[in-house]
Amino acid sequence: MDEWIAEFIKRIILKLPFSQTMTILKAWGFLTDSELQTLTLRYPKDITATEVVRLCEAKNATIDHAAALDFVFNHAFSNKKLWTVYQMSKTSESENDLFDASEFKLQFKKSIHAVSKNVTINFKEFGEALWIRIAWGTHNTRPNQYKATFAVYHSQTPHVFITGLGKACRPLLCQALVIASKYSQIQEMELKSRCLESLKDIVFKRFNQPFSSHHSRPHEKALTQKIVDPRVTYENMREKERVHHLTRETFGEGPLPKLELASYKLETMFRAESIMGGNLTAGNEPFRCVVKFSSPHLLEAIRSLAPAGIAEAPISTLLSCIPHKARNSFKITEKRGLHPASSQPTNF
Amino acid sequence: MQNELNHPYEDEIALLQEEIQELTRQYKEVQTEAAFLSSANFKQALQSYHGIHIPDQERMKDTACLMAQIEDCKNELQFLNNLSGLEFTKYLKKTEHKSDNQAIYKHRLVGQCQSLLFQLEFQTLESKSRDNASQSVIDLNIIMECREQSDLSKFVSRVEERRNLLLFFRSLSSFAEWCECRKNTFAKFKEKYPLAVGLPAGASAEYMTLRNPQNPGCELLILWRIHIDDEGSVIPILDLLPKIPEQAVALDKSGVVEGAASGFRNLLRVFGIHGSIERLIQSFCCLSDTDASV
Amino acid sequence: MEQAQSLFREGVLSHLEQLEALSYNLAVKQEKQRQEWAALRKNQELVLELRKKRDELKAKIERHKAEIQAFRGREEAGEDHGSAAGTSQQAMLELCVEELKGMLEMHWLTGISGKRTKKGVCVCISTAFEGAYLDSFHLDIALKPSVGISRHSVPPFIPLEQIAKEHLQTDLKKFLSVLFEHLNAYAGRKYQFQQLQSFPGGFVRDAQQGNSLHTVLTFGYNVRVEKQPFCLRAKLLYGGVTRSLPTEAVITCEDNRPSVQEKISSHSSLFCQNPLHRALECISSEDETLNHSSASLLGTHMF
Repeated sequence: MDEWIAEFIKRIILKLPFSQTMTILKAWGFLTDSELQTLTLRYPKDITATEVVRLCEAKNATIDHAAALDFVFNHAFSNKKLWTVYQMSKTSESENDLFDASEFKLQFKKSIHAVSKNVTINFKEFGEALWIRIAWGTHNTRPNQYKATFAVYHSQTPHVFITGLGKACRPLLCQALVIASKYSQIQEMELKSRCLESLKDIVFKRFNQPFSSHHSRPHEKALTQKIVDPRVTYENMREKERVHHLTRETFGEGPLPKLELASYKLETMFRAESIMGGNLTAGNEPFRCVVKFSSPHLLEAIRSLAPAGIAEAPISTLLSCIPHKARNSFKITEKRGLHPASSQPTNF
Repeated sequence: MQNELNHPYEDEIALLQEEIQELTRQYKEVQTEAAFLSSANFKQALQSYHGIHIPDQERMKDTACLMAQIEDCKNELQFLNNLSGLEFTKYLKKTEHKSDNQAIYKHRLVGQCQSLLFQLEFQTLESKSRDNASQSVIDLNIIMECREQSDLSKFVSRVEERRNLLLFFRSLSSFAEWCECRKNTFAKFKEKYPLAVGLPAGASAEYMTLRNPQNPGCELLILWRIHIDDEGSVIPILDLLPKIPEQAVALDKSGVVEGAASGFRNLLRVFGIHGSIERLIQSFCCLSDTDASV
Repeated sequence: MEQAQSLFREGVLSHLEQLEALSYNLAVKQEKQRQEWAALRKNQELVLELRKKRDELKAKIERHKAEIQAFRGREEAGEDHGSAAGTSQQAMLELCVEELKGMLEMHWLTGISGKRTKKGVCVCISTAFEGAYLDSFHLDIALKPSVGISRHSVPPFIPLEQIAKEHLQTDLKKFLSVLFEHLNAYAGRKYQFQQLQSFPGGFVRDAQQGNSLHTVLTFGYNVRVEKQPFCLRAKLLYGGVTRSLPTEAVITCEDNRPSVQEKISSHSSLFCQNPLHRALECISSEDETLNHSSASLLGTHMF
């Protein structure tokens, strides 16, 4: 076994939280149960890591095995990375396509290797998701296994979730994805998060959206707050109920996807009749301003703004449209509406 | 001491209240069922409402409010009817069994889809587990007048067997739509070419006849069946059957008559139903001026 | 003397104080008792009242039940029957509202239902496989000023955009029925895959769906041919996106003997004509009752 593979495996083990080490090793599936039984987990982690490497050396682990471990690790701790969503599109709708994963893999590898041979590509399926791991190298350097790019693709969908992609490798990966999945174009969406599952929920429309129907199974819960003195709190209650109702109408009652950030770039011209104004608009430069909202759980925070009395209900659509528009980075300019800067195809 | 004395009453009150709630629900149901069964149906109730003067102001207000609700619901139903193609005329839902995590309901439904009337009796089971609720049909009876349409009656019995209520509604809706389309098409051609087109069994029948007014011996039969397959897909099937006297067949050396059916099928593929029939009439019936001018 | 005086004074005062406290306590106690009695009385009355109400309800229910029975009897006899006795105008209207609301709710069972909103309609497309209702999908459709989908919960692998382009502007009903066919077939395929996974591992293994639309499905299963166990691999291809039964079933086995090949061809048509879990149930029961001719297992009469 190559020394650098041993080192690579060792570093992954060192990154694991102690309590999860065994779970990850089991999920990896390279070492058998009986081999894992011989392993005693103890501090410092170095000892455990060395022992795992020893077992791997005995079994002569290859780069593919190491990549598999990297998959399992990154799948389990996908929230350690920042994921970006890419959207693909095609000019003509093809007939029923019986997507075949093996053909996809073949095409993908072929189109990357046509340009650069010095790249390791691995695939692993986690349920419906196909994970792709690419370690890039140049013609005189070995592929850098520590800075691999991960792409997650669900067959027959136009979306790919990518993390760790350098600028230089972007065109190559995008081209390979488009060819393998039989699309014609790919574009980065203005949507990023650490929570991969939430990104999927947003673009796959799986998150809880409030829809009105006659068949209303989730019962609208009335506010349980008791009226102590009906004369005093009546107005207040009515207002509270209104706010709750509006909030429920916009966000629904279920859990919301997890995003950490939303940013709004504002560009506007300064218009004033005064001398000061004339001074300020010299050169016709627009004013630029960026507003950023951040929270460990941004949408949940936005939902609670009105009930908490911080903002008026209903909340501005600029904030509440985030999951529906599937973007958390906006550019607001004059006259032309919400997102003129984006050339992204409008997708309903 | 006294406080303890109160307890039995409080418990009993709670129990009674619960019981009354349940009984009220039951009462409502039997009331609905009685009304459903009685011929004094809602239409009558509504009609008599307009003729009766109710002096009590408060009651007037209540009734007006109810009338507004009824109006709203009716508009909404009309809208849904346009979307789904189904129209319900009578409906009754009754609780058969209820426990904490599951309930069985019995439904009786009378309705129609275009000109097809149906009456359904079915049971649904609603069960709730901690994280999801599910609903299924556990018994399904369909009463329908479909003796003339063998495809439909076969489909109905298959649906009953598999309790596929949803498929019944969807397929019935598209079946009825095709029937309507066929009727309209036949009627339109009859109107356009009254001499050439014959509808011996009416516009709603499965076939239409074509004949050349100058040669009444030969007739073409356009048979248009609406087939429902195992999975509930509705497919129109058109066939051309020539009815030609034997002497004429003997004269037909090049096999025109035999090839007519397959020729018609090719025509359908190219021009669609409407276009094919149109072309057929024009070529077969060699229209006289009086007929074509329509 | 002074001592005695003070003692006396204290004695009288404290005695008075004691008396005062006693009377106060007594008053409090009496008041409390009175209140409790009142509450008790009230509860007693409430219980009586509730019992009366309950008995009345019960009687009413009985009366209606008898009425219903009578109607039934007359209905069977084919007679025309009179109006429901004792139902007021008001109650009639209330019942009417209930029935209409029931109909609106019941539309959910038909596959395509909806509720009008300020701008248009919120459509609900429900799906089912046989009697079991599965996922529902929603679309918020604006009708004014122009027709368009404002929000929806349709998965991305359903060609919604394409269907909308073809039908939405011209025929909303057609649009919904085409979309329904796509969604219902997808839900049905997914349901069958889920059913497949619930088979015991000794019989079915390695069940894997090939894509998000569930149009390719592979699994292995065990059968006995001439008392010998064989492992067959099946690949089901669902060529029609609006269908929940496969258009092609490719079954392979390493063994080439004719008895196995015969089995394979019979299974292949079984898979194409029946829901997957039924076909497999049938195969496993066929295994148990060995002397069954495979031909009789085909066709629709079995279900």
